[in-house]
Amino acid sequence: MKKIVLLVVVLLLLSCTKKQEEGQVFEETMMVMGTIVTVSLYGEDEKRAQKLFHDLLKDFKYMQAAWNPWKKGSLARINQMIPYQEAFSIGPVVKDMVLQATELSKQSEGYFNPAIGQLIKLWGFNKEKLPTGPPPTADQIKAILDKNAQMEDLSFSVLNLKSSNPDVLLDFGAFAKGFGVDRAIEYLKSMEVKNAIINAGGDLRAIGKKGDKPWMIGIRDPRAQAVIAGVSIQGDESVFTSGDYERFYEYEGKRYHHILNPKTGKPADTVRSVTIIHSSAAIADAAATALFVAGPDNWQRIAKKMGIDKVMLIDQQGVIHLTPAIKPRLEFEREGLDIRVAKTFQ
Amino acid sequence: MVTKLTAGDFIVFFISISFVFTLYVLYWGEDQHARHAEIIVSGKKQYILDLNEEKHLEITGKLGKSIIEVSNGQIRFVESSCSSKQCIRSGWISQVNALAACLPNGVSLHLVGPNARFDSINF
Repeated sequence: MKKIVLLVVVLLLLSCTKKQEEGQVFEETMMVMGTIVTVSLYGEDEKRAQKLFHDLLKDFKYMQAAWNPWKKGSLARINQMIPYQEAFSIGPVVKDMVLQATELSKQSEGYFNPAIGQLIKLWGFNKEKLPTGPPPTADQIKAILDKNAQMEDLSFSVLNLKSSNPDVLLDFGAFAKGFGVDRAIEYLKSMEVKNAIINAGGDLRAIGKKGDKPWMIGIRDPRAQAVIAGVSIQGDESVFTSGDYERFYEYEGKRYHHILNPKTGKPADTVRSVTIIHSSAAIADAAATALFVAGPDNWQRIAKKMGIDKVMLIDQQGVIHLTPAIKPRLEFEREGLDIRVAKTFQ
Repeated sequence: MVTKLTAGDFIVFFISISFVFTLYVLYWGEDQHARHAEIIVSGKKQYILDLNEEKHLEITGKLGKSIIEVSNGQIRFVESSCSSKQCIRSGWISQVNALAACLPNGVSLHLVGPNARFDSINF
């Protein structure tokens, strides 16, 4: 009898311990970079967490102002200067951004191409307010594609930039978020923060753990308000997804979303979503766009060229294509999914 | 000395185990259903709504009104002053960590709960 009472008491005491072990996650949500940014910190006291939130908000506001190609700022100035085809000076951070984007654009065979600002403008995806009218005509699209704006048209001499193509118009919409998240995580690391998540509009980079457990991330189903798979973060990783559900408008019953194929000038339409896991948020961001555009026929080649080994691509039929490296990392939320592992991907 | 277990001992044992199991489900379980919604207006947390209380809330953002509805443990944007109406298209949301936002009007809904299975949602 005494043993049973003892057992019950022990079980009851165990049931009370969880909250004390977990510690506290401090979270702050900010509206910056044209999206909602949520910062989660673990292992910090409240005062320090508030200071870090404040600093990050300031940094994100700066990045938002500097990297918006359509409002007054560093990138808008670059876009104003490019048509003159003369060398002009730019800041070191923007230079890093342009250099990294150029390299990623080359690796992606141009499926990721931030030089197509004119095309984005033609479709009207440069504005907060989405278009309502008819899509651009084939002639309008062809006229822009014929100008062949590429990142390789840009060249540097120290901090001077020059474009050999006057029709390059930079828009880092598929890259700035990742580049900014990387800068923000670097700042947190420099402040000796060990455990954090920065989620910018659904794309994130996480470092460390939450106590003795890894950070758990849910990846949204592109066709439902539900999680399709979970992933536990190992150390320092970014999880980025490009999907056709993010920003779109409908005209005469047809949906037009914002991820444009730089080769056809139209929204890429063969994929529902692409999720990338990679250490760098900037690379994950660019790769998610590149593989989304490359589609089921080309994604494996482009992923290899970009050095990406963890990919989940969901095509328009709902088939889930995985690389061998991402398969053991994902825990799917339901049975009956058509999951195929890319066997040739090594 | 060996004491024999009585029927009463087994009843106490059964009740205790049931109690511990209930605590497990309540506090360790992976209930993804959110309990509250935080309403963030222009970057500041302005309201915390209980999702179990039916409610219509009118919020004034940068552009004008956003009307939020809470019903049956879910929440959604019903009306918005923005032009794209993306926030309304998000529909009902109910899971922990789910987000719906009207960026032009600076209003966002963030669902929170005590037993979030995921620390963050990627989309």
